[in-house]
Amino acid sequence: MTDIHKIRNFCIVAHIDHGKSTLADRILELTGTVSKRDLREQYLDSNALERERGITIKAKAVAMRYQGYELNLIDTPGHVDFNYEVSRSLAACEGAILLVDATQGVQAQTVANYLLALDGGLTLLSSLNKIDMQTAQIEESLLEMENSLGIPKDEVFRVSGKLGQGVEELLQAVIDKVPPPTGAADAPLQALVFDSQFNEYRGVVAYVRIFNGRVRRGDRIRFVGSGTQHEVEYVGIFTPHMKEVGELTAGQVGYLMANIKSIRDVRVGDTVAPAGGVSVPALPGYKEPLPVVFCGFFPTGDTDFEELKKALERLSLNDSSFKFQAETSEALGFGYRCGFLGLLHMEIIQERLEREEGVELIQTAPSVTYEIVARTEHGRAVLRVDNPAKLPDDSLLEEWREPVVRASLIVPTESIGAIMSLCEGRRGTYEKTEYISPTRVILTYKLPFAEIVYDFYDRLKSLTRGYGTLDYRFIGYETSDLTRLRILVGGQEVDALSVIFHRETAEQKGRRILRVLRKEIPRQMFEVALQAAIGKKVIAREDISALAKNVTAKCYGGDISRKRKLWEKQKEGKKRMKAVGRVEIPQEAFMAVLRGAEED
Amino acid sequence: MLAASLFGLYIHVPFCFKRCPYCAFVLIESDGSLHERFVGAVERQMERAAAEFDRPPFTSLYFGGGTPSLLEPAQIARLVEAARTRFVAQGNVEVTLEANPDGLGLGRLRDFLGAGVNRLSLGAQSTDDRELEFLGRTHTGRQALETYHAARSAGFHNISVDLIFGLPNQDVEAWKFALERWVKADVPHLSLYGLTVERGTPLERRRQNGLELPADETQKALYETAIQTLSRSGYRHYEISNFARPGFESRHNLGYWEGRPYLGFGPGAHSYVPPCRWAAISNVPLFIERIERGEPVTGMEERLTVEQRMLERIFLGLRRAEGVFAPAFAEEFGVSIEQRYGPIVAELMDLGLVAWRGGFLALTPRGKLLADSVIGRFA
Repeated sequence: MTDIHKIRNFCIVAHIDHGKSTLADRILELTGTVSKRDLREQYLDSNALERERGITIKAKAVAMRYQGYELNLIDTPGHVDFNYEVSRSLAACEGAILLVDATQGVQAQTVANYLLALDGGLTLLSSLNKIDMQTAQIEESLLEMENSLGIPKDEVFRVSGKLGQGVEELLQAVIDKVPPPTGAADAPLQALVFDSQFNEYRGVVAYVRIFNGRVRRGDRIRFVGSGTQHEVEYVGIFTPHMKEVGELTAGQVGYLMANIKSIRDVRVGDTVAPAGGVSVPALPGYKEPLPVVFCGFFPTGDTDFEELKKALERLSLNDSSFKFQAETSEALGFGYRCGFLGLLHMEIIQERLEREEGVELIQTAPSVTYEIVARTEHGRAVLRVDNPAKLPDDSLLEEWREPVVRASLIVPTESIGAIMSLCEGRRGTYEKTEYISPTRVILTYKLPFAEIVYDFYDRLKSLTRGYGTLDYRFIGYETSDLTRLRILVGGQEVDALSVIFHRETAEQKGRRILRVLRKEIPRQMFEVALQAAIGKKVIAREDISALAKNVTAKCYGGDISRKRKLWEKQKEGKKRMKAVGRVEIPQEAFMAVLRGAEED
Repeated sequence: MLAASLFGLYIHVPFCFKRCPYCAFVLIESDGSLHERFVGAVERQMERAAAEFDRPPFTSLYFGGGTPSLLEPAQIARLVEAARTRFVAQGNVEVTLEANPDGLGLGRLRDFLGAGVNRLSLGAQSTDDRELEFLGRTHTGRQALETYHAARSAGFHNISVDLIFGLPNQDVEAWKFALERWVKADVPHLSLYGLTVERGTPLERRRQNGLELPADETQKALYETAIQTLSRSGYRHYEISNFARPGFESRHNLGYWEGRPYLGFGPGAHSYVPPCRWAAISNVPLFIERIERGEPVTGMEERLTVEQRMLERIFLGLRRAEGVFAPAFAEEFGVSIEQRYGPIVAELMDLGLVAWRGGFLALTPRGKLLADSVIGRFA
C-alpha cells in the first residue's frame, strides 16, 4: 500500500499551445519514467489526430516514482469545448501547474483554467514557460499574470519545457507545496471517474482517483450515477504503459477495468462505490455531458445509412459526450442529427468519421439549441429545437429564446476597436474592459451563442493577427427576435439549408447566402433559381444560368476510352453531391450557408 | 458477314514538321529519318495482328496523325498494300489520308491517289491568316484553298476539310464567311472542332498567362451558326463535329461510333475488339525498336465491363444524328435502354435534351450543345 502522505496528484493547465505536453515530457524524463530515447514528442497525446491538431482530447494519468514519492500527473484537455472534462480532471488533483507561454502572455484559457483550478481548491504553482525563446517577453508576462490573476511575480517559476530548465525546481515544489491527498484506505470505496476510454479488446478503461477505501481485482463495484454494477477484473496504473497492480488505495490515481462494454456506463464525473447497499455519497460536480452544437450528417457517395450508423456507433464507444439520433431530411434523406460539446468537437468527430471510418458525408451547417414557445393542440408548449429544419410552422411560433454566453476576449489594445465592432455586429452586449498590461485587455461581452458558433473565433484571430483569445461560459437562455430563413433551390425548399437568424439581419444574410450558393452550385443543364424566404415572403433571388455549351469536339478511336474514363471520374466527384430535385448540390454548399451569412 | 465484325484499320503516323501549340497528339517533330523504319515497323505490326485475329475483314483504312502526308506516296502505297495482303478487304475500301496543305502539290496528290488513297482529310483549320498564325500552322488560308482545288483536279472526289472554331476574337460573321467559302468550293465533308485547351500544351500555358478564349455563350453561337449554315447548304450534321453531303460520311469514323472493332497501328494507336481495348506505347523511337526486336508494344489495355460498354454505346450513339438504336441496344446487352436508364432518359426528355425518334434515342438541338453533360448523366 502506498503511503498516502507520499502521494502528489497534480495536473498542468494552460492555454492551448503553451507547451503543456512538452513540459509533461520533461517531467516524465526527469523522473526516469520514460527514457529520452523512448520519448516520442509529446507522449501524452495519444492519437494521431490529436497530435496533428496539437491538442490533447483525452486526459490521461501517469504515475511516476521520484525521490520516494508517487507523483501522478493528470493531463487535461486544453480547449473550451472540453471544459467539463477539464473540471473533472482537476477534481482528481490537489495541485496544478499553471503554465503561461512567455512569448504569448496570459490568454483567455489561462484565465479560465486558473479560475477553474481555484474553484476546485487546488494549490497552484504558477510558471512561465519558453523563457529560452528569443521572443519571450518575461517581464510583460509576469506583469500580466499579476494584473489578471493576482499572482505575485516572485512566486512564478521560470521554466523551459524544451530545454528542461527549471523543471527540477518545479517538480520539487510539487512535492513541497502540493498537499498530499486525504482519505481513509479502510473506509468504503469512493472513487472519481475522471475519464474513460474504450479498448476494443478489453472494454472500457475507467480512469479513477481513489478518494477513500481501496479497489482490487474481484471487487464488486457500482457506478453511483449510472447505477450499473460490475466485477473488477484489472486495476493498474500508467507508467506510462498500463501496468497491473494488486490494488489502488485512497489517494492513488490509476485505472480499472470491469468487463464493461459500453462507455455510457462509465460516465466522466461518476462515483465508484462498492456494490450492494453500502451508502457512499456521490462526489460533487457530476454533470451529464450536454451537447451544445448540432449538425446533420448524411451519407453520400458509396456510404449508406447503415454504414454511417455503424461508424457513429463505433466512434461513440470512445466518446460518450457525442450524441446522435436518426433524422430524415426531405432534401438529404436519412441521416443523423449529432450533438457536440462545441465546434472543435464537431470537427474532430467529422474528421474521425471520414478518416478512421472511411465514410463519405454531407454535413449541414451547425446550429445551437433554441427554446421555442409554440402553440400546440394542447395549448402553449416550450420546445427545444436544435435543427432549423424541424421547427413548427412559422405561424405557430410565439416566442424564441436562444442560449447566451459570457465571453472573455483577451486582445491587444490596438485591436479593441475592431473586436468591439465584431462583437456588436454579432449582437453582443458590452460588459467591461480590464487592462492586464498596458498593451492587452480582457473584454467581456454577453453574446448569443449562435453568433460565435461558426466563424467568430477565426474572425477574432484574423482581427488580432493571431493574438486574440476567447473563452466563454453559458449563462442561460434569453428571449430574442429570431426567425427562420428558408432556402429554395429550383423552386423546391431545401430543408437542410434552413438557418435561424435574428430578424433584423435575416434579410441581408439571406442575400449573402444566395450569392455564396451561386458560386458553390455548378451550372447545370438548365437555369436554377435560388431563393431565400422568410415566412411566405421571398426576400432574395439569384439565378444560376444554364450551361451554354459543353461538348467535346473530337471523338475517334483513341478518344473513346479517355472520354469514358472522364465521365466515370466525374461520377466519382458527384458522389459528394446531393441531388435536390434535379439540381446537384455539392457538399460544400451545405456548410457554405453560414459562411455566406458572415461574408461581407 | 455481320456488319458488327467488319473492322476498321487505323495507322497512326506520328510525324509533323512542327507541333502546333494546341496539339496533344502522339507525334514527334520529324526530319524524315525515322520514316522508313516506321513504315517497316507498321508492316510487321500488321503481320502480327493478322495472325492474332485471323485476317479479319475490313472496310476502311485510315492514315491519321501527325501528318501522314509527310510520308512518301510510295510508303503509303506499301502500307495500303500491306493492309490488303494481311487482312481481307471487303468491297470498295475507304482509304483516308490526313494531309496538311503545305508542300502538297498536284503531282504529289496524284501519287497519293495512285497509292490507293481515295479520301483526303485536309487539315485546313482556317482560311484566315491571323487565325492560322495563332494556331501555329505553317500554311496560309490561300494555300489551304489552293490545295483543296488541286486535290479535286488530281482526281479526289471524297474530301474532308477540318476547321477549328472558338478562336480568340472570332465572331459569328467571320466564321460564317469562312464556312461559306468552303460551301462555295463544294467540299463534300467538313469536320468542325471547337478549340479545346489540352493539358500540357503551349496553348494551356498561354491561357494560364491570360489568353482569353471566347466565352461559353460565344462558342455556342459559333457552333449554332455552323449547324444552320451547313444544314441550309445540304450538309447533314451526322455527328457532333461532322457534316457531310449525302453519301460522303466517313465510313471509318462511323465504325467507331457504331461500336465496331478496329485495329490501330503505330505508336499510341488504340485498338478495340470487344470487350477489350488496348493501345500501343506512345514513345515513337521505342515503339519502332520494340517492333524491330519482336517485343510487345502494348501500353494500355482494358477489358470493358458490360456497364462500360453500355455507356460507350450510349455516348457514341448519342453523338450521332440518328442516336442510339434501342432494339440493337437491347439485343446486344439483354436489357433495354428504358430498363437500364429509364429515370435518366425521362429526366433528360423532360429537360428537352433528348427525344425518342422511332426506335432511336437522340439528342435534341439543345442536347447537342450539352452533349457531355447529358452523357454524364448516364455514367
